[in-house]
Amino acid sequence: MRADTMGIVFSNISDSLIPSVASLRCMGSVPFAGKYRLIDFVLSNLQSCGVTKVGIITKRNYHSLMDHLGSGKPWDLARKRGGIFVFPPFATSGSGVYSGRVDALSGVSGLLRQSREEYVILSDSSFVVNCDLEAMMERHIETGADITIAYTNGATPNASHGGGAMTFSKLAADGRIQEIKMLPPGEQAKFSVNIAVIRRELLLSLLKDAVSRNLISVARDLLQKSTDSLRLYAYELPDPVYCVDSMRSYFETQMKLLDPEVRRQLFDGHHRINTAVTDTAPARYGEQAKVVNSLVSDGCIINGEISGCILGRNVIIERGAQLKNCVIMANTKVAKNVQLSYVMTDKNVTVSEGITLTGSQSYPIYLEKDALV
Amino acid sequence: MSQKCECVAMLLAGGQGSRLGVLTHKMAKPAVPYGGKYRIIDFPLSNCVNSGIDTVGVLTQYQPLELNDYIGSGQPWDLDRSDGGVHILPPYQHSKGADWYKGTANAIYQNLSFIEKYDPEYVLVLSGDHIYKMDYAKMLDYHKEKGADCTIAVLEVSLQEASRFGIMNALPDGRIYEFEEKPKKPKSTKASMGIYVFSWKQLREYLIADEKDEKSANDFGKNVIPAMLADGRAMYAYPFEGYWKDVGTIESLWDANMDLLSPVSRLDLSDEDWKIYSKNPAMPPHFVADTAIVTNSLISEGCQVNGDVDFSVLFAGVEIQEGAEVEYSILMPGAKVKKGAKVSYAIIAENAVIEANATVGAPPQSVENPDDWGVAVIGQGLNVGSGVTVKPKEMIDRDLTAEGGAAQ
Repeated sequence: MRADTMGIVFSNISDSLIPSVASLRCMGSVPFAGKYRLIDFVLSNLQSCGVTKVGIITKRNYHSLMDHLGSGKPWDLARKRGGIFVFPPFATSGSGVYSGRVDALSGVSGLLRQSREEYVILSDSSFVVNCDLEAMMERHIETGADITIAYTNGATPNASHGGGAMTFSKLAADGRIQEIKMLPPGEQAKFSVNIAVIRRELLLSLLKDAVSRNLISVARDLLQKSTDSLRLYAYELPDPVYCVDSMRSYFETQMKLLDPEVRRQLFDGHHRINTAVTDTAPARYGEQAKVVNSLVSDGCIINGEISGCILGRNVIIERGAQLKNCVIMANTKVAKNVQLSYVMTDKNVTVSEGITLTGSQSYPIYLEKDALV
Repeated sequence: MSQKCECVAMLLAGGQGSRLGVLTHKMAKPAVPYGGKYRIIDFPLSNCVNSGIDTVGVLTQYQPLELNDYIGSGQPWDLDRSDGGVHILPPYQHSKGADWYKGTANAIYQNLSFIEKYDPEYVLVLSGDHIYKMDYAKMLDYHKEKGADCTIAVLEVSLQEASRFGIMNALPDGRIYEFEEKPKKPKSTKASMGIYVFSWKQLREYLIADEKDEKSANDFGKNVIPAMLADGRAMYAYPFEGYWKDVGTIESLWDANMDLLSPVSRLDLSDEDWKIYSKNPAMPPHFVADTAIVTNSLISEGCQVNGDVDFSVLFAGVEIQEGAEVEYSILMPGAKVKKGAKVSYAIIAENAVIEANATVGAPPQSVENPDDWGVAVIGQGLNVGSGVTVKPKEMIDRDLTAEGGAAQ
């Protein structure tokens, strides 16, 4: 357990990749796997390595995030010492809304300066992983790195800032990063999953320097040019990492959860994943219910047929309704004899009696929050 | 000195619940799981907080570990308060010696100083054995309106059932003139629900007097209530309408769970205005595989269902393997039913494992003599070996192996 480490979480950084879902909320509070929000994975990872102080950087539409976080109790972050610090945009100079990571981090430099923790773990919310951050910390200390960045192997994800994904094109045997390339999506590479460890003092001095030189991007302006001057190390996460970088991957990643092995790794791997508690009753199956190959959250009332679906909390499926390969978010009501295939409904959607909607695997139909069809 | 508090609730949670057999070997009755994600005590605690009563003493005595652990700081019920909140009150040693709680009234007596810290006008006495949703604030209003010294919540039962309860005979305005414990020939059908509101000043006097009486069993029903009645105190019956069930026996616990499966259940657990709070396990949504058929059931988070489930209640983290059949049963957290096993009219306690092709329980129509039938019960953490048959009404308290005997 690491009492000497604090966390900083970027909750908005790649909102633009899934505009429909993130238009009313930020990446961190995007619903996932029925009962979770993306930030739950980050916070649970931090919790399990003993981090008890977490700063959360927001940019806009963080209402639902604040709602979800509450006091931070589910992640043991309701504390007298440390706890959760949410940073809404701080407006003194210019618009108050940050333009890049350097800007965003300077906004929390107050917290960083006041803190006494030796290390900071920085993390985005768009990578879904159940990982052992303590092992990464140990590695960071062992190698004497200035900054350690977690990566995985695979096709590079979409990056919101247009600069491409940060990849490590040359690594020394001990993991030291010798070359960083920013690559377009879809290239096979060792790409950063945007979890990094750094000494707090070093982070502060790098930020001060970056601000004075008017730098914007941490990856392009700071890291890419510093492979010689800084000891940058890459740490390969041994766990599967799922990236929510488009509406399609948002849908497909959730569908992968129907595989028991994927579920085991993600929810029962290194530690449990905690989320806000809603005290909903167990799901109720009626006489006509026919449910196969599906994930169902508490509070659902099912009288119809569902197959290959992910249901959020308090979803109502009425008699005669047939759902195939759908992601149905909380409080959605699907009325009698509705037929849905490859449909994603956001929260509080109502699909009226007899309606048929058919999307496709590569392009699921998305029904926005509070929609009435 | 704590802030003055109008009404303090005292929840009697020390009962052993011996009629629940193996289910209460390792825990007090109020900690027994119910309804797919709750424990019995969640109901009175949630009722308190929903009624605006935020100072609750929980009197524990028998096997308190699991209960203490469960209640913790009271956070799941919003009872972690700076003023008031939930307090666990076990018997303790004092300057003149130490006593167990001798009876329900003595348990309150031993905690006079806890109650007086809050200087209340009223004390609500509850038990941790019942499943119901009730607004105690309304009962308190009734108590004030009647100018009562004691108000007892009553439920209309049928004349046949009345002989199983404490019956309150009352005038049309609700004033109680007679109390009969389990009368052979009941004069009325107002059954006491074991929920009392007392004006504290009066109750305090009676508790002190009762304690001095060496012949007293120090029990509310047997001593304190009759004594107050005999003195002509103003005692009123508060009529309650709605679902209420004493889950003191295996049959009633099973019944109360089955009641939830009816499409017209009288106990609505999903009422947003009267939530029942509980400690939630951090588990993912439950998964139903393509080999499963699930109907008429309540399924909680973390379950993996690969077999058939009908008319059953599955708590968090239950696993039903392929080809297994479960009907009319209650599977408590972490229970596992392996391939080809059959579970019928049974209660499987926490983390018990039913190995492949074992059979537990059977439908009532399968036995000739109805007296031989009953719900089969498997105790906490036990293992029912592969191919073993557990007959209806059997209660298992040790591991069973295929050789027909108990494992050593």
